[in-house]
Amino acid sequence: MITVDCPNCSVENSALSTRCISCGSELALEGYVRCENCRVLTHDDLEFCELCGSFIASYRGKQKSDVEGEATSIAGEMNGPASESGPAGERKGASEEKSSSENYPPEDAHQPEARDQPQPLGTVNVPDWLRDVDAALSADIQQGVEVGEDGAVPSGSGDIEEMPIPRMDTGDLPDHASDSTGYSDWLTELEKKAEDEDLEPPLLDDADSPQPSAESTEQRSAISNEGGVPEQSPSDLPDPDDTGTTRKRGTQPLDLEGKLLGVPKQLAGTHLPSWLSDQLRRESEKEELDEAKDITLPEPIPETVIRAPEPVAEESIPEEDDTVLDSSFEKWLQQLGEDTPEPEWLGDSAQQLEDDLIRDTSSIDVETPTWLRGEERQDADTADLLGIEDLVEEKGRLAGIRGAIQVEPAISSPLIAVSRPDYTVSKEHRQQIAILEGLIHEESIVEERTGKSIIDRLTARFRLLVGGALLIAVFIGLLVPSIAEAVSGSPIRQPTEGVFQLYDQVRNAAGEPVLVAFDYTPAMAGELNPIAIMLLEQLSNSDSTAVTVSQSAAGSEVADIVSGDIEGLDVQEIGFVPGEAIGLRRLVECIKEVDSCETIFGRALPEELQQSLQDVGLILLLTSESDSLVAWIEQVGSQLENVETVAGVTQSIGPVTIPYLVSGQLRGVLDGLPAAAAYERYLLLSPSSLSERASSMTLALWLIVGSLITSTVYYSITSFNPRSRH
Amino acid sequence: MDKLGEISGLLIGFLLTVFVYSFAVRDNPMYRLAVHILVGVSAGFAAVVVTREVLIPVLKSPFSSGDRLPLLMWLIPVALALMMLLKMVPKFSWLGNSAMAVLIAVGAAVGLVGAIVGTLLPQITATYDGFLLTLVVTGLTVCVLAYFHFTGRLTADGQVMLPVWYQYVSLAGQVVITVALAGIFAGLLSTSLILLTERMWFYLDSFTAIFTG
Repeated sequence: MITVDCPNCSVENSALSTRCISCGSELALEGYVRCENCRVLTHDDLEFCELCGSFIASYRGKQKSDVEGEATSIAGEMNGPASESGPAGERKGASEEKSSSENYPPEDAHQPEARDQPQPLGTVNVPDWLRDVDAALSADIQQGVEVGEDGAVPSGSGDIEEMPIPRMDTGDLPDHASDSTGYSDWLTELEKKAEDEDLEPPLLDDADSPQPSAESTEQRSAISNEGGVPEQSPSDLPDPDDTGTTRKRGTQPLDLEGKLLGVPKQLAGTHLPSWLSDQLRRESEKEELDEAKDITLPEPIPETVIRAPEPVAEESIPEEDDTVLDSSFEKWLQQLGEDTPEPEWLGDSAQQLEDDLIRDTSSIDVETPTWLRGEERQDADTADLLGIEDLVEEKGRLAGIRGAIQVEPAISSPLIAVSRPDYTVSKEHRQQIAILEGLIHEESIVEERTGKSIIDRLTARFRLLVGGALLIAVFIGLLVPSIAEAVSGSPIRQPTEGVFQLYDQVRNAAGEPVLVAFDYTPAMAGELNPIAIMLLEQLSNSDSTAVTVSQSAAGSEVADIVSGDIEGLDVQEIGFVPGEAIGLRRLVECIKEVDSCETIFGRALPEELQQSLQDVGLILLLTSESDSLVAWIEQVGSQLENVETVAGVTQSIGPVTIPYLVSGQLRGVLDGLPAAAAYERYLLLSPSSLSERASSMTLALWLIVGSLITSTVYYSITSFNPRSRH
Repeated sequence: MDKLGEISGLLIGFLLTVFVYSFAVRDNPMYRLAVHILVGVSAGFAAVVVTREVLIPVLKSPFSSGDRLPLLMWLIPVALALMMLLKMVPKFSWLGNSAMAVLIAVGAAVGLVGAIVGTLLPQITATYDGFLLTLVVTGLTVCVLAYFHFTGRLTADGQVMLPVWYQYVSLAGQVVITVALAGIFAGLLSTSLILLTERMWFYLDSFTAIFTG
């Protein structure tokens, strides 16, 4: 940051300040010119501002002050927006240019605020490019610069990069008295100094058009002879109120060692767009031609190739200073629009210049930087999408801004709930469903076809073969029982202990009522009916009374059928007893207590039956289900201690009876047809068809055993063969 | 006429037997027909028997005597029976919950008492039949009961692990269960063969008697 010491109070002030922040005295430096845009002190020999890159009108004013003044105004109009965005920016629209030109600031209208500790002169870090310039300038100065008779400086001599960094002695700063009358005061002082130092006033009309050739020659000589860029104090800048401006050139270089610290890269001397420099040149030439009617056209500005200094390295620019400069420029611009009146010295030509500028600039084929083209395109696209490109806010805080999106209506508008459409099935959906269904069914069909292998087909045929073999075996056994005896001997085995006990119990119950329970269905009648008939015949032979009861609905009918075929048997029917365990409990109560056995489950019991129940001597249970067996044993057998229980069961629940037989809860068991056949042969000594049935069963069993063994061996062998696995 | 009826009955029975026997090849509609007939006839017969043997006598009995006390006493089970019938109506099914509760509670109590008194205690007292045999039977019984215990320690990988010795005991129980089930299966097979034999013998004898007069 460039700083200036106040000549009165020696307080450090920023170079952007025009007056001391302490005492209010005017700040000025010899040999330096204040940039009309950013108000920073710049060498008056430089064409562009070192900070913002705007065109320095005072550079031309060395030769032709009046032309330079106009050019400065033009440059200021054109540089206003450009300086706002820095060298990398581009003005947007003629209106902005117009506004900026209207708000073209007076020299001291800008009052920068908040300076971050402005560093004293000589303490700012100088960027590398400035050092190079310093070295090059020193070399050029030593060699000398030839200046033409017309004051034109040879090209190349104005190369900023080659010019040395002037050094400024703070002691040589002009001593300006405090002034509170505005910028006219410094102009007054400038006039005084111009009179003293023979400075050139700016030319705005014929009467005041100076002859800058000699003076500019002298100034250029001073540049070359003195070996440095002449300095110019802020008071040297032209006063808009005056017809002429005076400039004061300093003779001592400004020491910028380290003073450009904090200058943003965008403002540190980046070159102006080519279109701007070209326009400036053309405008200046055109203005000169237009003014030739009334004024003496100044000498054209020599074409010098002045390169803008290289951008300052980012490392040398502290970021904290960027915001200060940006905010200062913004405020400066705002103040320009509010406070700065139109310069009077422009006269009526200002509006004309503005109109011409607008007309000319609108036809310029602006060379838009590539980096900006992308943003413009994006902005244009966005604006097109939004359709708000042409909308300009007219009121509110966003007045004047184009493309502002109205947010409040969007927020305050009620949310419209979109009703979810009913689920529907379109034609396409149906087609897809049909296709999927077809695929699924095809897959299942394919699986079935592929699943029917040879083995699967043989399995069904094998089952049929086995079933047929069994039938044949049964037929053969029934027709020719001797075959079974020849194969396995007598199919009838010796009676077991349980068979003997049952025989004894039935024989001991002779003459007593025997409670016979037919707890099986007709499905099991094939195995239990022979047992039932055999035992009932024995009871009949022993003059026992059979009291039939059943917990199965069909069992009562089976009991009627079986007991009806026994001749001489006294049968008394209780009938169907529902409720399983609960019903048996009721039956037991009826057996135990005489008085509570008149009815049972709503049925009135005859007195004989009641008496028979009181005198029951044996319980004969015929069942094919283990639950029924257990229920009878638990509910009846355990409650009637003086009454024994025997059972005739199917061979499937034979193992269930063994524990009860061992524990004594059952006193005899006939388990299946073989046991019944043995009971009949060895105990009753009466031949019947049970032997034939046993023989056929034996043959069927041998067939089953043979097929099981054969299949087990076959699969055992094939399982070890790897081929059969796949 | 009697013979015709007898013959027709035999033929129908024989056909139904063949239909059921056809299941040995594969499931087929004839087998399905036979099964449906069996189930239908059994259910119908049971319904008729229950209605005739139980419901009608129960409903008639309070009115058979002139006393009002039996009538009042029978109203309670009648009311409970009607409440259970309401279980078929979803709107009033909650009314049958009380009757169901009474039924289940009484059945559970009777069954529990019978199991303890009629099976558990007599079986325990009758287990001793020689020291060695008793020891073997008791050990195998314990092994079988141990097999049905599945609570163990939860390992890090989420599996339930039992102690090693317990696993061997459970394995012994599995062997005993397997042998018992094998015996039961053999008995079922024998019963099935006996039934087949009896059927074949019945039809053989019947047709022989018919044709021979």
